[in-house]
Amino acid sequence: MKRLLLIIICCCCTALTGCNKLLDINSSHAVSEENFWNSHQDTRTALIGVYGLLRAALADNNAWWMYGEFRKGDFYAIQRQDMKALIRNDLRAAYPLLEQLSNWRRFYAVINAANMFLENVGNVRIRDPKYSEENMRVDIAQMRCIRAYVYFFLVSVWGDVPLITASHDGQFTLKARESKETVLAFVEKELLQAAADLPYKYSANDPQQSGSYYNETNTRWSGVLARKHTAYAILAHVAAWQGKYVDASVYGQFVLDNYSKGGSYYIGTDELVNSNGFFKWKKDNHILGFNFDWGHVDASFSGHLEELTLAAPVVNKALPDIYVPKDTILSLFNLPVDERFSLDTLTGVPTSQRYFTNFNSQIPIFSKIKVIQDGNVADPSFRIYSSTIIITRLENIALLQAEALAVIGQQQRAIDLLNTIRDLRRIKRYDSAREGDLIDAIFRERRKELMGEGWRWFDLIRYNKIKQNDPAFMSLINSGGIFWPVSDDVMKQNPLITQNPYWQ
Amino acid sequence: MRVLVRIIVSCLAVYCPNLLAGQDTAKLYRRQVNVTRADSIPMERENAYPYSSLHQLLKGNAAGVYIQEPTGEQGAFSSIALRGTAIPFISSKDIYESQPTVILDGIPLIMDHPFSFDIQLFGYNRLGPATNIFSAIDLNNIEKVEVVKDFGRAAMYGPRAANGGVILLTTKAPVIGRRKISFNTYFGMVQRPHIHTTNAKFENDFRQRFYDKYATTEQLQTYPLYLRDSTNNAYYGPSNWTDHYFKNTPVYGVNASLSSGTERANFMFAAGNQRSANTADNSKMDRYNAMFEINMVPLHGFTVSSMISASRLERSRSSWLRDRFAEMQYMPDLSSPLPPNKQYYGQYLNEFNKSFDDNKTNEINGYFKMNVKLGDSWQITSMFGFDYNEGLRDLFYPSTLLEKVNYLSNYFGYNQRVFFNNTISYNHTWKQKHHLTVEAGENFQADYHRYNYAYAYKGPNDLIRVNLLHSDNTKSEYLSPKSFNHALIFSFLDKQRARLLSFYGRAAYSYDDLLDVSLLFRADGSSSAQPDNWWLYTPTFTGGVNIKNIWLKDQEQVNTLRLQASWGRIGRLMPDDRFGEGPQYTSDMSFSNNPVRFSYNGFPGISRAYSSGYIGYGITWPYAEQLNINVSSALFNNKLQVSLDLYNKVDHNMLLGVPFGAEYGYNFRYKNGMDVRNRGIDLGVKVNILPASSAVQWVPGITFNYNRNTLLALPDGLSELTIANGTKLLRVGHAIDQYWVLENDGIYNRDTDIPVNPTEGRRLNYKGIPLQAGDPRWKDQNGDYIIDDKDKVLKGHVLPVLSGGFNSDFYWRGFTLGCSFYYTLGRKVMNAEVADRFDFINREGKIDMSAVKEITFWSKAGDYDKYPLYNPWSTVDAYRIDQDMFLENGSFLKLRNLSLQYDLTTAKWWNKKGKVNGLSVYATASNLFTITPYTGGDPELVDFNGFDTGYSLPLSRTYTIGLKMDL
Repeated sequence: MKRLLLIIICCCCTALTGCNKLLDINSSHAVSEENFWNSHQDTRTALIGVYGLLRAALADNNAWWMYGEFRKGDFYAIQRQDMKALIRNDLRAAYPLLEQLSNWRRFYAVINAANMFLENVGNVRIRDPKYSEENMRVDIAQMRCIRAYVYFFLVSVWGDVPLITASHDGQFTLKARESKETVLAFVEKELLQAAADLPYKYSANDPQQSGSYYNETNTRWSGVLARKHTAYAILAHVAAWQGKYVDASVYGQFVLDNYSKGGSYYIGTDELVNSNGFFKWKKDNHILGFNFDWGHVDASFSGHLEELTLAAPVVNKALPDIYVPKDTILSLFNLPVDERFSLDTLTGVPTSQRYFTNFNSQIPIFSKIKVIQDGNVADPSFRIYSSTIIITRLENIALLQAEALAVIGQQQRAIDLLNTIRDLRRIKRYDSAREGDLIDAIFRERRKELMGEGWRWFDLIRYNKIKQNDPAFMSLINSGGIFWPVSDDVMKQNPLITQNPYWQ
Repeated sequence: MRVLVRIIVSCLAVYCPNLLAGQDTAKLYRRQVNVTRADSIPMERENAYPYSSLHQLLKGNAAGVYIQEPTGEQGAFSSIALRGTAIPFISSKDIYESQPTVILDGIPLIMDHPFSFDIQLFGYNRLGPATNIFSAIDLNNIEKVEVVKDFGRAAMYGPRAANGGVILLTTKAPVIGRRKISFNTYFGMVQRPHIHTTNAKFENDFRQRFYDKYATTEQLQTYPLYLRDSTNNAYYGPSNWTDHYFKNTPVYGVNASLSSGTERANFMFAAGNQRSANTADNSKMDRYNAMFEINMVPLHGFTVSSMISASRLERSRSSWLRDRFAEMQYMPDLSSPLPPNKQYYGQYLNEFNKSFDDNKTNEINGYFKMNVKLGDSWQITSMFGFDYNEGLRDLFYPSTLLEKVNYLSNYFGYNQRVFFNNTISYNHTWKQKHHLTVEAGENFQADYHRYNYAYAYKGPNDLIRVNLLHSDNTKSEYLSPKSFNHALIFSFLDKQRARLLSFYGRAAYSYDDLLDVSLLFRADGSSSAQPDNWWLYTPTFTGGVNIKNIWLKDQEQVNTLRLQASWGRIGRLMPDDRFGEGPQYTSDMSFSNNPVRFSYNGFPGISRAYSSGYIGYGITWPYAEQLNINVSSALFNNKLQVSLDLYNKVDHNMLLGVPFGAEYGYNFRYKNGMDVRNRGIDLGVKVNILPASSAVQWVPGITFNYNRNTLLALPDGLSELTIANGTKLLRVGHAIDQYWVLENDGIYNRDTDIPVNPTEGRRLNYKGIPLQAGDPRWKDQNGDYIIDDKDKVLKGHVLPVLSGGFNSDFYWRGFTLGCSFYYTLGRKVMNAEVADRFDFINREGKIDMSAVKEITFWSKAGDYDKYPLYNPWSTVDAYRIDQDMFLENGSFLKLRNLSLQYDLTTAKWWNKKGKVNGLSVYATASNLFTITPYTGGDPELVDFNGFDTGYSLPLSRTYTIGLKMDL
């Protein structure tokens, strides 16, 4: 009888091979390795994945503004303890927000996805004849550009960071932090090489990208992807961050000479602040931006400055999380007829308040950016937003160029650029006798023009590096206090990562 | 006197199988035969109680079965832990994965799959009706409930038994040779509790102490508006919201069954309806059941049997603001909470009642079975069966509830299981002594889970409550929404398939009811495993000795004494089909507050699964091994029945997400290699204390489980690992269900009290933040003058170390008085509700879940005076949850049920020859009292983390009277 059992078991075992067919089913929510990197649809999906991951990284906890705008910035938190700690640069305070922000994982996800793309795109070229050499070249250039930008952002937030340029998929090795200089050298090299291959526009018969890109029209790609002047704009920021203002002026000049090829132009104040203006949707004029396409069900509750700054009467919310105190507004917007905000000095009534709503209440609402729903209706009832995260725009580059020129001693060209922006906002041209130092004037203009766009903190650092007249801030720069602490979670999973000394 | 046979439902059935359920091995080859049921266990008593789920029936009635009900709400999800857990509970998903399979007449019931949590921002409840599927079972139709924990038997069910075993339900068999009609009906009330309510004055006084002591001028200015104005009657008026919130509510149940037939063909039909309700928040559930079962013997030796059962559950759910906002994934301005005054609360309820929230669950299952006996020895059985359940939820919230934004959502999801079993067995006895059974079988099971879910904001008005689409397919607008804005409609669809194919061979030999041995060998193939690792081969051995018959034949005091041992290995299924794919790509573009982003710029985008974890090649099957030794005995003329189990269950090679690769973008990586041991004792004792001749009979019984959980190994040979976003620690050698907390040691009243590191001159700090007066005095365990995670200690257990029940029944002349107690010991509860209350500073002026205040905010549970007055503004987060100040002893003893039955057929005046065969009346009372050192609410009602968040409806006191009749 035991033999019978054995026979039965043997029969079962032989039957198994035939049964494997029953077990072979694909997951419906994950794509396996063999089903990917086969066609140009896969490269588009992966390419979009990289941009989407970067948008997620910048939108998560409104990170773009948390890193760049609020630290020692112009905004004041009313009740939120975590925001208060962030604003006073108390970044180790025990709040979940700060712990999450000190984790760089999401940015490395973008880098890994870009690395995966660069390693696998060659397979698609082999497997799919429809995927052209040109298409691949442009895709590769975009991935290198985005990866370089992410490294630049990582360095400006954390200082030294691990430099990983391959996916190491499956054979992950722990990496220690690399010096900022090494990383930024890589960034600069990558951006320059990528810029060579990037077009000014997509699906617009640019010499670098002929025909319709992924069979979509020009409007579909407006301002969505990295372009040639995007790479140069980032290069200008990278060089300025390092204090290499000669380089910065070269890169900045490239953008200022060529922006019209990419469809950029200087925007008027109304276009800047209208709810259906500059911050709405995607535009060629966004030199680098990440949109939330209303029409494609992409609007969201978080990932927009509006979530923090808006309140009644602009949206249904009793008080904003943060606001710019009156004193700051008054001391900053002290020039008459400034279209962004100005006060009649005699009556005390605002003559224009495009940046602020309810100035006369105790808590003015910063309403420069307010793309509520699709931005076409002034409906305060639903706090869903579709404003684009703007990384940089032409006015930013113009002022950056003015800064670079001022530092390297080309005063007049700097003043001209500064005045370009001041003309745009209808304020008097720069007068050194009345307003004093040109650098101060340029940074003040940046502070006003880019308020709420995620640059204040980085501007403060550059300003202090140039001026070196604030000992407290200089000690912050010298001791590494300008960088974020690294999350405990990151250090636990990789023992090679050490904490920034300032936060130890 | 069928009521007289009071048997502790499952425990003794399992432990004394020889006494109550026939011989264990005999069961296996007879298990397919429905016609003769010698091993029935009446559930008469339990049918008297108004249980709304199988879980409630099991509670305290079976050793080693711990039921965790997070709320007293009818039909809400609750979980079972059989002999502890091998899965560390990190998220709600893990609870689903740790549930034992319930098998109804051979149908392994399919449960909801937790994959819907992937698109949920908040994991409080699963999408859809989130109804406990096991509420759909009408316990009136169940003849026997068995909890099979011994792998010697459970291994027959393969990977379905990996979570500690299986729970077998057997429906009542049709009667033969006569007609039987049975009725059981009851009616009752749930009683409104009395709680200590508070108003804004109380809250103001509570907070004022902190403001007086610590607040700066600036902090004083941001005092919440609703507490500021003491003339505001809404907040400062009488706190009588409970008049609207708690109601005495009727409950009822009715079940009827009809059964008839002959040896050759018989049937049973049963139908029932039950209304169960909670006193709080107008929550209730209706259940409708129908069941039909037939057996036919068209030819001699050929039996065909079939069963089909259908149920419907309709549930009115509790109306927590939290759940509403979690469903909407959107929150209004939270600066003014619901007012405690009845008048104002009533206004809110008026608006709330304009919403609808229909939760329906339909379940249908059945089987078709053929059994052929070829001669005396051979038998072939084929069984085809299915289980299908679907959940529907239609939801509408009017715009008046939320700042002019109305909300609509529709969910339809189903779980479907089809299975096919074939077995052939050979059975022979030689010389009346040598008994051999050989069996071979095949089992194929295919699961399919799917859901469609869509939600929309801001419809045009509150009258249009359905998202209608244009239906004319000739027009371009075909399928576009008619009235809702398409940019505010979010739709989802997901599906998950899993297949399990198994083969097994089993041989059992027994010698003259003295010795028995058996061997089971099985091969299981799972589609969720990776292709090079589809199959897992596992053995199971059992052996038994009948000590009574071999050595103690002359001992009259010993009626039975058996020793049974088993060792077995069972594979554990991977919880998600993603594991089978190896390295993979998925959509991962979501961010905070927006859990579901699949596209950018209107194009789908995919990448590696950074957030949900890297899955590499080489993932292998996890499996469980268990050694079980059972001693069962009946002593003193069967007056004392004892069953004792010692078990050692080790789950090997378990998958765990190991935090890893942040520099490659990953949150964690799934790795095999976690080993968890659960070791313990199950004990069931039943005593017939008084002599048989006595008019009064007293039968107490106790079930008891002692379980020790130990983590034996972590992947990669790690000795410890922080999981769950740094809130939990797994440390080898410790249990996986421990709290990880800082130890409180009072408060620093003055800056000078704070120790200073003598070598560096630096003051004691919390992760770099120097401590100040008003901060907690946490124990610096490692003495490095830094309070951080290294100073946290593992304390207490979420699951009880000791748990069980105590039943006692008195019988006297047809009267039966029964009571059942339920107890746990060695369990801690984190009083999160109190922690939240003290952490009020971080819970104001925000629009997120932590700032949501329910109507129950206006009640007091707990002793607020026992906590030190820390500085709530401190950046060390003085009232953080991970400190042992809030960790309390959660042991309890409850009188769950009390019942009195009278069997009228035992009365002298009863006409025994009448048409009525059985008639009894009964009264029950449930949830009568709790004895516990816990200072908060009900220590039983906590979430899977052991946190008492206050988000639970009470286990209401319920009184019923009922009637059972057999014709």
